[in-house]
Amino acid sequence: MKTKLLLLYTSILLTLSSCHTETEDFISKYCPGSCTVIKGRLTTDDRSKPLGGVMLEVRYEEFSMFSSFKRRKAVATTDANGNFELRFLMRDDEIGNADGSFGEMNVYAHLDTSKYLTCSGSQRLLAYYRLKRDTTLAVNYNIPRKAFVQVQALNTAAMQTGDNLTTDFIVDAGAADDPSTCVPGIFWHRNVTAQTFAIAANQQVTIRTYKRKSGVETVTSETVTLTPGQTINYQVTF
Amino acid sequence: MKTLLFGLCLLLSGFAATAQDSLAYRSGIRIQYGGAYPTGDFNNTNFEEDYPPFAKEGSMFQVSYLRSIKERLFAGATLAWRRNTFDMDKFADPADELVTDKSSKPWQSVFVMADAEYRFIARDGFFYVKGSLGSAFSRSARLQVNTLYGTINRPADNGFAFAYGLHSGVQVDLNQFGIGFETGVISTRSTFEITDAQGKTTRYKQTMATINCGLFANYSF
Repeated sequence: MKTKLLLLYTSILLTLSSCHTETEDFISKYCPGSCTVIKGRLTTDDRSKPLGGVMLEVRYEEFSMFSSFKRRKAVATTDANGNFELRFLMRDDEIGNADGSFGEMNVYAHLDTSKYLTCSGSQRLLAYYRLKRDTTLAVNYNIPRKAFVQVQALNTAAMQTGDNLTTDFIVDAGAADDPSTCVPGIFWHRNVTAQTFAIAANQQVTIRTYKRKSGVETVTSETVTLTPGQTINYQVTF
Repeated sequence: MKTLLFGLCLLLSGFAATAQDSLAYRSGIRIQYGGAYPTGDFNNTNFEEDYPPFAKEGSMFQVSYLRSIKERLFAGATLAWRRNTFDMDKFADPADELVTDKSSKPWQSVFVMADAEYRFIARDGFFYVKGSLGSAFSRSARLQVNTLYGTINRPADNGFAFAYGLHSGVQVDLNQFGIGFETGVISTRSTFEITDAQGKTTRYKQTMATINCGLFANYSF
């Protein structure tokens, strides 16, 4: 019985491990026509400084619980002014249907995420689910350098049912037309009293704390500007 | 093919080991044919490169003339033609539903080299090492891929550049005639122009290095 279970377990593992594929689409990379174009400018330091020499890549990706499929679609490197243009040809199976059950077209930046702050926390900058052929998108994207804040929540032991304490770090990062996607935050509760966050350096970061205590809501805000790599301590009190 | 060449090399090495002095003739003409296997950047199919060369294994034909200038030192010249096909199946999968038709022409180089060869004489032949310097006229691979949405068309471009080679080999003498095996590397780095589907022209440098293994026939006089 043990042998059968072991064989079954091994078979399942082998099956799962064989379901991750990655391909390279050179036809897309040298797009002959009907191209999808994502172009814009990559910056850092509050959108004031161009990020040149960063390699960007478009990948079509499908994920499920036991498998993944990746197809590299295009690469481009930002020029000295941070400008880029990603041009690729979408295949029929990459154009999502009405209920969006297919994969996604992701844009990645090949940069050091220990030094640069991306909204996703990874090298992925953008994700598209409804892209089409013959389409041009303009994106100006800010990738701040990283600083750190060690936040400590005081008096959380006094939190009762219905009480609430939240701290958000509001920063102008990511796509210029969609800054809301880049607001990391933390919901404090009795068991979480300290946490370290990476925040943007060389630009203003608003630390906003929402508190609801015994039905009374208060909001406090403070603005900080840190240098790259700097760490500060910050306290919120319930 | 590789196994055959390797076996022949061993066989010739065995002959040479029991060979004796071979300095009766001062000049020789060598005709050689063999495989040319891309190495380094010439072998590149990296998606992140702007224009990876997709060079496959190919062939090289050489004609050399050598003349003795000292007891074991020979000088001469080589004219060589090298041809490496474009790896179309790696560029576009044969089952790619977007592709309606595709064709390519190979990477080609013609080398004109000055050679210096040093021989280690044995009873019926010799080993040698050969260094070569010269120039190469090269032609980049031509590529045309027709798809449902347009054509990827990359015409061949020509380049002229410095070239070098380093080879070693073994020759067995049969009176005035000889046969042998040679292996080594030959390289050049030409500048080519390429124009993309949007009409943007890019100049780039392409290193074209191959490891060569070939059989030759020699006539001494």
